[in-house]
Amino acid sequence: MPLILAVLSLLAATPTQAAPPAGPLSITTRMMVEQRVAAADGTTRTRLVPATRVVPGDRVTIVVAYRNTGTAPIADLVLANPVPPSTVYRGPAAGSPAPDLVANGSQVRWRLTRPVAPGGGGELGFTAIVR
Amino acid sequence: MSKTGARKALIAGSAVAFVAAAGTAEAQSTAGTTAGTTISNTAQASYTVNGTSQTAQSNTATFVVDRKVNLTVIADQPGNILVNSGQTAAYARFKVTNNTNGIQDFHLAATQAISVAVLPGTDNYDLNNFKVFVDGNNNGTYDPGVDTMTYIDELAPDANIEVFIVGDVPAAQSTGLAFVGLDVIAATGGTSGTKGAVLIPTPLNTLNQDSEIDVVFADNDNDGVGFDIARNGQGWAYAAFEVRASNVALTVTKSANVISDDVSTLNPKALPGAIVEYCLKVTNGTTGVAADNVLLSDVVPANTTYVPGTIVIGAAASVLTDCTVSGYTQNDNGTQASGPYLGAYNATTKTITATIPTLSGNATVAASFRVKIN
Repeated sequence: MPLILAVLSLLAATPTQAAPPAGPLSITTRMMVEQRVAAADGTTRTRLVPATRVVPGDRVTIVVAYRNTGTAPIADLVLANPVPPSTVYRGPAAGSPAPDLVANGSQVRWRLTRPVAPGGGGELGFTAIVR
Repeated sequence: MSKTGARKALIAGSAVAFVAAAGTAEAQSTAGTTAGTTISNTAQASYTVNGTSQTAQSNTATFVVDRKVNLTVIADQPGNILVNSGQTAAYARFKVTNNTNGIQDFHLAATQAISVAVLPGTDNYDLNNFKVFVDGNNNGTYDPGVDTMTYIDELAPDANIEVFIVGDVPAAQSTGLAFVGLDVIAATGGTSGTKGAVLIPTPLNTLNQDSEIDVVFADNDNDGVGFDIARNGQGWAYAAFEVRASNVALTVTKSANVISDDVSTLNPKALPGAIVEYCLKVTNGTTGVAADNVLLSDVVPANTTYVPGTIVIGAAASVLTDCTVSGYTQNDNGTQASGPYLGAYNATTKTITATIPTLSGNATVAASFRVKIN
């Protein structure tokens, strides 16, 4: 019995462990929201600003930036991002390749077919509507 | 256009259609994610370096859903509220719905100064003892002394509540209309039993933190030509208290005419055994106002016997000897015979009744019945 408990506690502890030692890949994420900006000529255009003022119905853009900080190329890169709760996936961000929608639409995933060279990186993104 | 170009155009077209459908789905959604909800995002990655599998996790980005203030106010009764002169605690019903993504208080203000033509007709009197109350016991009816709250406390997202504008109609008020308006103002909720302060939208230029809940007004212009404007955190609705004519000048005349006796056919007299026809003529002397459900009743005189099946109701005849013109013979038992009227004879009380569903202004309807002198 104490053995089983020990095993269970070990299993329970596993997800709360700190992130694995920093590898060569660094990823950062940020969330942006569309803001209408009136131009001097009277037209309006939208620009992305950090998501500070967001109300239901707004479209947010979630950006994932990755960079190879190591010295060897990175292969078979798969970036997965859960669609945040209380939002609904709408599509790829402007300029980003479309991700696969997996797990009943609760997660987006990009598979990079080409290796990421040392010092190389990029940005991927998708848009979602706040419910 | 090349084949590729045509295909691109098709794809673009389908993308537009998808966006339009998505817009519809959005409009059907309710008040939305509750204000103050933190939305966070973390990305994960897996990869290989020289054949060795590794994983990585990003930072967590967060923002807080802000308060999207929205409400609707409607007058919750069809048409005008019909009142009588001198009526106390007459009330108009309004329905206030909280479309905000959070619990809100709402202040209430009622006014009789409705200067614009938001309602048909002309406002020509004011109510006394003018007040506004919330339907505290939620029964849809104003209960004096029970519904005493003067502001809406803690209305949940998507919930609605009734509000009453209450007033007394002046005594001896002639026909007319009193217009009233209800202004509902969004206020801070969250503390039950406390009237929250009126919400102020966070200025667009304010530098805010992700963790703060901004206030954004998203309400529509609720009344078009009235006082309300879009995105002011308020909603307006209107109602009219109408005093209608409550009386008409009804007059009834009764006459008797001997129809026959056993002696003379030319000049019948009221002898025993003679048949006498009684004629009741009812006139509505008020132009333009109909009287509904006019009920005539008459007791058969002593020493006479009702002749069965002789109740006739119809338009009054102008000649003295006739009572009705093309009148409808009624059933004595009170069932509906042909024609719009209803007649009956009650053998116990010896009473003749005649019901006229509608008596138009300046119209006269007559009812006749016959008796035999014992």
